[in-house]
Amino acid sequence: MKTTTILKALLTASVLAISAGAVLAETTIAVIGGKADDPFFAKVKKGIDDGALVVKAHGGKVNYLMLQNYDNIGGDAANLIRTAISQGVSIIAVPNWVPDAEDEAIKAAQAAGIPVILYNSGGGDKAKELGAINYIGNEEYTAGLAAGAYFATHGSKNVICVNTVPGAQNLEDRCKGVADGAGKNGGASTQLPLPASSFGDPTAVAEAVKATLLKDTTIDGAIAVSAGDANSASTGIEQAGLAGKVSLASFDMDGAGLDRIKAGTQLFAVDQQPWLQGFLAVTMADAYVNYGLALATAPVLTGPGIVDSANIDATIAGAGAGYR
Amino acid sequence: MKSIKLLAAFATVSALVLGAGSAMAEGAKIFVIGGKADDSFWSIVKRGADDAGKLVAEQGGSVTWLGPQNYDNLGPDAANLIRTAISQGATAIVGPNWVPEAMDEAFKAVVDAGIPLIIYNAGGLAAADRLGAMNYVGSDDYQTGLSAGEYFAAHGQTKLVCVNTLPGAANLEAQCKGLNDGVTAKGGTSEVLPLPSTSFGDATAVTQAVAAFLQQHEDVTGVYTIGNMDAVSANAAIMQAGATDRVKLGGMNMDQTILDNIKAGTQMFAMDQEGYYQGFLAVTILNNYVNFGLSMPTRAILTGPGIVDASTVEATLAGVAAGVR
Repeated sequence: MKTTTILKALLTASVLAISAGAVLAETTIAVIGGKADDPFFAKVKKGIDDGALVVKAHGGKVNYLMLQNYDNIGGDAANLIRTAISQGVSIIAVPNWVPDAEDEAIKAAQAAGIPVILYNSGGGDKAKELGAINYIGNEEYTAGLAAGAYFATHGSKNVICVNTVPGAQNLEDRCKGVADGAGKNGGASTQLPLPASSFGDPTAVAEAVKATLLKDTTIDGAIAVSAGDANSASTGIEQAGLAGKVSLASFDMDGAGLDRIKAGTQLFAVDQQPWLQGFLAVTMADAYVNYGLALATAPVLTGPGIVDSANIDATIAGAGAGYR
Repeated sequence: MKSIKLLAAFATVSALVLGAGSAMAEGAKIFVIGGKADDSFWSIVKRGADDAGKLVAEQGGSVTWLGPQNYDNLGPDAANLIRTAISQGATAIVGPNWVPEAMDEAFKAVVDAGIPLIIYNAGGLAAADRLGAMNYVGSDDYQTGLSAGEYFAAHGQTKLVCVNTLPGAANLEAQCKGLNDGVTAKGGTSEVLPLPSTSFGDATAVTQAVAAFLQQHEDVTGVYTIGNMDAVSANAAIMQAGATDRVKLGGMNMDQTILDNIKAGTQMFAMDQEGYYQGFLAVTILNNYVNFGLSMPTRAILTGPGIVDASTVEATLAGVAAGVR
């Protein structure tokens, strides 16, 4: 009789534990992301870790599944999704880098009853197509639009978009956005497509920018498609003797770019704000899986964030702290 | 000579302190203007603000909640709370634009003082833009109605009625208009059933009016209500009219009774504005802006409508138990 009572008590306790566990205690958020030594993904990871504070307070945990290298991004990411499925995680946040390679794995997760949230790559339309909860990240064309509008409303009416990888869809989208954003605000922008031979060659990029500026003296603005190219373009502007006449901007940013903005030799940078991507992906996954909360706004765009003289000090502080 | 030197030394010290304050050493002092702490909806918003506050605190900052004692004199009281936040040295402020006539001046004082401002819960992006605020975080009445209309249509209900117990209130009119646009875009129709102000808050009167309407309009297959009490009244009306097979119910807001009804299948869905996200995102955005210059390019951020139906009612009930819904 006594044993039966104890057994009964134990059973009751374990039933309680199980029902509590199904809701909260075992919530595991799988986040698939880039390498830890990638400067961009280090900021995303910082956001993930900060978001994990909230997850922990709600009784769950975050499991970061990292690419080991970038040799086979799509296939490796798909394998990480399958790993997360086999681990029985509660929800998966993943960038849709290579749809052809990843979409099947994403659908397999959903078929297994695991909701998916896209972040960093993929866009709002792709999230809708796949039935993902949301997309959190940047959209290239929108980022370009903001850059074009910024130039036109800050005095640069004839802008070149220095494209070091013509044909790459995301960069074409950036430059098209610049042209449309400038056009809507009384300016104009044309693309300066550089030959493939100049890619990764700072001297060649600087020379090309210099030659273009000297040939067409009506150009009063230049935007580069990456932080590294902006450094080359800056050299090109100086070598042409046009510092102060041609305003420089960049998509993405590094320490040199931030220093130029602080010194007044670069007008602005367009940032996709990777910390926000990690933080919001984790906290929104947590709110969805635990409490059924989902934002009506889709996609949630973390970029373009404009960095200019108005917020350069806070941005430099953020860069020092690993947030930017 | 000596005193000048001292003065110069002091000036250097205070400049250093100011410089540190703009970054992380002191963190952000975020003031949140909201409803009463014992208000069931606002306690959820506060829970979101508190969760976001975990990171704020880790970075050396603080989140302070300022709510009115009662709702008797809401606009002027809220305006005073905004002024209190300014005088207490807030480095960022978030508040609802409940009563623009009474509150706009105080919000403008925030912006004039160079303090970053977010409008949340009430006012919409129009208020944020008018006041020079960074963003609006909250729901939108028209969008809520629109989503409800689309949901009805997607589930086979294409002849709807919007039960409006406060005709003339702009936010409710916007919901009924959204419902109409949502269902007509999918080939359906809707009409508004405006009830006299005498029936407001009178559950029996609302039930009788809806039941009578359903008996007179046998082609109506979906009822939408604009408040949680009205949803319960309409639920009773559908039963009284003997129309439970024909008519599905959906409505704005939710409470335990409504969630139980969704679970039992006597209400199809409820629209939730997700107060938790209002507090959480407003504080998060302000904190990152003050500390690191991070902005949120998406404007407005619509926390709702979130649709609660049979597929999400379990997680929602867990959220209610945890105080976040």
